[in-house]
Amino acid sequence: MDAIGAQDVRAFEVLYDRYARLVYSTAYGVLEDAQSAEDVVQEVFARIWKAPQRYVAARGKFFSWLLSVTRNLAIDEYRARRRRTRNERQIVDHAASAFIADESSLGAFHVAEMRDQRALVREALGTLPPEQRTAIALAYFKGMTQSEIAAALDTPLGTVKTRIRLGMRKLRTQLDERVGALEIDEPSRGEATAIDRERTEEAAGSA
Amino acid sequence: MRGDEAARGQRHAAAAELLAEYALAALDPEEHALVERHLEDDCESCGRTLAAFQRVADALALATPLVTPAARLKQRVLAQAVLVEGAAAERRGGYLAGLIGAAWLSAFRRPSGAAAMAASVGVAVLVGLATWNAVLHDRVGELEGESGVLAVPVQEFALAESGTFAAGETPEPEFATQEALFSLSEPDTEIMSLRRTAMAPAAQARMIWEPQKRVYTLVADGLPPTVQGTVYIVWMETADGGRRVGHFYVDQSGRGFVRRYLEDHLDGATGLVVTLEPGMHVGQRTTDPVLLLDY
Repeated sequence: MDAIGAQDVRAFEVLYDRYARLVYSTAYGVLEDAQSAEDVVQEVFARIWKAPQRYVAARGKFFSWLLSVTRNLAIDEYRARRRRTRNERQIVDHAASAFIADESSLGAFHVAEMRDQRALVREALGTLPPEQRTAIALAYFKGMTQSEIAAALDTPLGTVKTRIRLGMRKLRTQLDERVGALEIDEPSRGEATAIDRERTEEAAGSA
Repeated sequence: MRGDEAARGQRHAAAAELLAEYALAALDPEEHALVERHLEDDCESCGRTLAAFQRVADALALATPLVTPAARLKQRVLAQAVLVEGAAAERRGGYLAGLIGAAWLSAFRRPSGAAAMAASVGVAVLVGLATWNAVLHDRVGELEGESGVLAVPVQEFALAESGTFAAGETPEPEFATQEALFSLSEPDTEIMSLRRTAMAPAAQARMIWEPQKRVYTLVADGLPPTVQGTVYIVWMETADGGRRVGHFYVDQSGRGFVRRYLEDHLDGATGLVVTLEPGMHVGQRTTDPVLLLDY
């Protein structure tokens, strides 16, 4: 982030290459619309470029902060158009399948550490009953409160609370230590330089 | 004192049960406020538990199916940054290096198909600059004559390229993406001036409309800066109402820029309206127009 603060475009490009797909996927998971998801991606990276100091390392990992910013922006946008775009049934159906079900879309993902982390999260989610997964997905991807989830699922509020609480506790038990240890930091200026060097060598080799 | 401790203890018991849902931002307002009040007590135990649940909540994004964004998005994002960097380089005296160099050198470095295309655009511009610039210059002059409003950033770019640009006349290169400039040499590209309102009496703005691509570019000057989450939103007005088609921010320079693809052709619109809104979340106009375009 120091390099971004120094307005190093190459470091910014490395940052984009590393995280754009994940940021876009998160925004797309919320919005289900390519153009709106692109807007969110642009806004997220614009904020990083203009004010990288908003990320404070002492408060947590860059990766967590980035996805949190992405989710918040996407949910703001989603809430703004929710009333006119979708009915509750569609929202629930989408949320129920919002979490990845298999490995097929991971093939080309090049950041090994993140791939490992994704596998852990997916595995942990796979152990939850579907109703707990759906309730958590509605909260996470659609920014819905427990009361809204209860209404959307036509389920008692107490039941929704229990589903979310039990689901989150189970996830915590499984992920607590491993997720923290696997988090990935932002690329350094040195890494940007190294990537530039690799690209220069590639270009020279292909010329 | 004992009463305070008892109240804190009750809040702790109630809040501790809600931390998982709080981390997901799923609590209803009353319970959310209860947890917030307790966290203000600096409860270490709840702080640790919440941090653990927040890590879980953050990790949920990793379980979404990966979707690859369009290649053009990278150019869009980098152009925004690079053009700001270009402005900084210009202030250091390297106008062309700042404006063209960073953006297109970046394109040259990319080995992928999309990157090769971006690089070829850069090459085409650099090699064919003289011819292209002549067409552009004529077009800008023609349009300027029609409207009486200067296509400031576009014209300044053209002047800079033709070698008549004086270093003291600072252009703002963030307004001029290469794509928008290229479009000016296309015969069907239209440039329209937007009307200012009492909300921004010093504003001037122009829209470049590329009907074949259904892409518009809006450049504006003299606008009040966006502060604390405010954002300028562009709305397309139709007979059925209006919908949001873009947004942009304005810094202390008073200048803003947005370039967007439109799902619907502009022919179906009755006009464009720009408003200054309290945030990106608004679903419809909440303030009076700052700029207007009747179409």
